[in-house]
Amino acid sequence: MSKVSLFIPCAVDAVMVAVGEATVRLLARLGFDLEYHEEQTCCGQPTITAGHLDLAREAARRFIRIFEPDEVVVSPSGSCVSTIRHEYPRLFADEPEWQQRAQQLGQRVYELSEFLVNVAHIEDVNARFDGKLAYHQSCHVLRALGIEHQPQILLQNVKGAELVPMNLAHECCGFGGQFSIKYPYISEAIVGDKIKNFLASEADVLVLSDPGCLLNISGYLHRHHPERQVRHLAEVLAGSI
Amino acid sequence: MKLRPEDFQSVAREEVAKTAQRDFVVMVAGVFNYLCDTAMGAYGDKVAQEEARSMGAQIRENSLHHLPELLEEFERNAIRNGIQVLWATDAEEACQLVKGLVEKHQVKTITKGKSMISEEIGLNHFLEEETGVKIYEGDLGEFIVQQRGTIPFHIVGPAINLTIQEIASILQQHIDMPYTEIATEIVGYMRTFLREKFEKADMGITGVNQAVASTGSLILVENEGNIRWTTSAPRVHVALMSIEKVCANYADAFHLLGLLTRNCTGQAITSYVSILNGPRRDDEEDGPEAMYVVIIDNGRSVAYQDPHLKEALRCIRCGRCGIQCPIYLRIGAYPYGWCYPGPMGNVIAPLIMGLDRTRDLYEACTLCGGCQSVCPGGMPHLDLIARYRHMKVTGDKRFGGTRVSIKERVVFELLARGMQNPALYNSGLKVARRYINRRSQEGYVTSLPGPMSGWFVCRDFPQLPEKSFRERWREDLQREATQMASTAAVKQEAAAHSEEE
Repeated sequence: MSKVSLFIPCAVDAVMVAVGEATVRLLARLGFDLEYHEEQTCCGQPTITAGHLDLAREAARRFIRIFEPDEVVVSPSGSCVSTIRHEYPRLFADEPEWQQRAQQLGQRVYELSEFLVNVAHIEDVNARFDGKLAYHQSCHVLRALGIEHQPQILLQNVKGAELVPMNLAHECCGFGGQFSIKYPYISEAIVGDKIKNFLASEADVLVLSDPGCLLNISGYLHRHHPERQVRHLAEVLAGSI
Repeated sequence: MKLRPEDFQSVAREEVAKTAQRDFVVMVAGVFNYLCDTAMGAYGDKVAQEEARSMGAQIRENSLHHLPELLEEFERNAIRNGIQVLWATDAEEACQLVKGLVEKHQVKTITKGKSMISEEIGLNHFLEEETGVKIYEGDLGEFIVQQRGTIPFHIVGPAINLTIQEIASILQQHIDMPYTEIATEIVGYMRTFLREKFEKADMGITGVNQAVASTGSLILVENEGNIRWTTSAPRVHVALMSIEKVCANYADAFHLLGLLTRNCTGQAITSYVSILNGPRRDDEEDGPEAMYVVIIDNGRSVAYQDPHLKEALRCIRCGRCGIQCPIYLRIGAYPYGWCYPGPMGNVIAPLIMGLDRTRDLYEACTLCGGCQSVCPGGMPHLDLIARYRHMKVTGDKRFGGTRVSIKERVVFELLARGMQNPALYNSGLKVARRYINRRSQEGYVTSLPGPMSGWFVCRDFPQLPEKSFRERWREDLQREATQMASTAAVKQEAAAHSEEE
C-alpha cells in the first residue's frame, strides 16, 4: 500500500495529541504505510502571520528539507497545509530556487480529507457514529484550500450519523492565532455566535478540520457549555468518539 | 464624536458589548449576502460568477497599470466636455480647492450625494468651519449620520445600526420632524424636506463611481434620486474622485458597475444611473452652469509606486467585504476610526494614515479570507495585511512604521530557534507543559497571567498531555500503525482475490 508521510502540526504534537493519534489510526486502518519524521517541529505559520518573515523563511527551508523526499505528505490541519502550499512560495519570491522547491512540495502536501477523497479516492472510511453531526467550515480549509465537500462527503458516509446543516457554517470561529489573545472581546463575540448556531443546529457533535478552530471552540465550550462536544474530523472518522 | 484608529481597542470593546446591535447587523448581513449571491447568479453558475469577478479584477489591474495615462486621457476628454479638472495632492489641498469654488460662485447652500472621498478628506466639517456654508447630505442614511455627527456605519447603509426610534429622535431633534415611528412617514417627510434643499442649493457635491477616460464622462449610481438632483439642479456641480477611480472605456465601466451593484445591494443595477458629460449646454434646459472634477491623490501615489502595495487601489467601494468580515460585523465601523470600515479600511487606511496609527486595523484580522473570496476587484486582502505586519516588524519609513519592540522580537527569535532545533523544541514543550499543567484543574486551565491572559477572557485551555505526539509515536503508535496497515493490506488483498474468483 502507498506510503504517507505525516505532517503533525506543533499544536497537535503538544496539545491535541488525540487528533494526531486519530489521524494515524484512520490512515493505518485504511492500509497506508505511515512515516513520521521525528525532527519536524513547526511550519512557521505563527511567524508569518506576525510578520517575522525572515524567521519564517528559516523555518520553511528546514521544513522543505525534511519533507522534500516524500511523495505524499498528509496533515490534519488546513491552515498548516495552506502555509506550505501558499505561503512558502510567497516567502521565497526573491529566491527562485527555493521558490520552486516550495511549489513542488506544496503540490504533494495534502489536508486529510482532501487526501482521502481527491487522491486516495476514498469516500467511505467505514466509520460509525450514532447521532447528529454539524460541520464547521474552517477558513483555511474552505477558502485557502478550496476544500468544501470532501469533509462532508466523508461525514455523510459515517454509519449511523446524520450530517445536519448549521447556519453560517462557513464563517470564521474567531481564532486567528494571536488575534484570539490580542482582541479577546471580539473573538468572544465571534465564537459565541458560532456556538449559538451549533446549538441551534441540534447536532450532538460539532466537527471541524483545523486544530486552531478546535482549540478555540473546545476552550469556549468547556467554559460555557461543558456538556457539548467539538471534535476533529480525524477523530470522528477514526471512531475515537 | 471624534474617532481615531488609535482608539480601536477601546471603541471596539464598547461596540462589541452592544449585543442587540451586533445580532441585528449579523442578521442584516445575512440577508444582504443572500441578495448579493442571488444577484451574482445572473452571471451563471459558480464558475461563471468567478469568471465575472476575475474579469472585474482584470479590468482593475489594467486600469491601475495604465493609471497615469488614463488620468491624462480622462482629463483631456473631460476638458473637451467643458468640465474643469482640478488636482489635489492631499486632503487639505482638496478642501481648499472646493472652498475656492464655494467663494468663487458665492455659494450659500450645498446638497451632496453620498461620497466616501468627501468623508476621507473631511470636507463637510472643513467647509462649514471655513465658509459658513450650509451642507445637506442628500442620501437619507447619510443625512441621519450627518445630523448625529458620526461616521457612516457602513458605506452603503450608513445608518443601519440605528433603530427607527433613534432615527425619529435624531430627526425630531435636528430638523423638527414630528416624531413618528412609521418608516414611510419619515421617508415622506424627508422627501419634502430635501426636495426644497435640492431646488434651492447653489452647489451640488458628489463622488464618482467610475470616470471614463475615453469619453471624459463621470458615472454615478444611486437609488434615491438625490444624486440626480444634486448634479442637475444647483448652479455648480463639483465631483470628487480619488485617482484610482478611472477606467478605460464604457465596456470596462459597465462591467465594474454590474459587479458593484450586485455586491453592494444585490441589485442588477441601481434605480438611478447618471452619466455626466459636462455642464449644461446652450440648447439644454437642465444641468449646472459649471462643472468641476477634483482628482485627489491623498497618499495613493506613494503606494502606487510599490508593485505590491499598489494592489490596495483595486477597491471599487461596493462594501461586500464588510458584510463578509466576522470582525466588522461584531464591532461595526466606529473602531476603525475613519470612513472606510472593515476590510476596506484594513487595506487602505495604513497606506494613507500610516502603519503606526492604524496598527490595530491590520492586526485585528483572523485572516479568514471572507473578504478576498467575494471581492469583485481582485483585492489581495490577505497579502496586503501580511505585508503591513511585516513592514511594521521591520520598520518602514515610507508609511510611518516603527520597528517592532525588542521584547516581541526576542519572543519570536526564541520561537524560531525552537523550530530549528528539535531538542530545544522538546525541552521548551516540557517547560510549557509543567507551567500550564501545574495550574490546571480537572483537565483545564481557566486563567494564566501575562501575555496569554487574553485567551482566558472567554475560554479555557486544555491541560497538555503528558506525552507529546512525538513521544507517543516512538513509544507505541508507530508499531500499532504498522500492524494496522499490514492487517488492512492482508484484508484488501483477500477482498481483491475473492473478487477475482
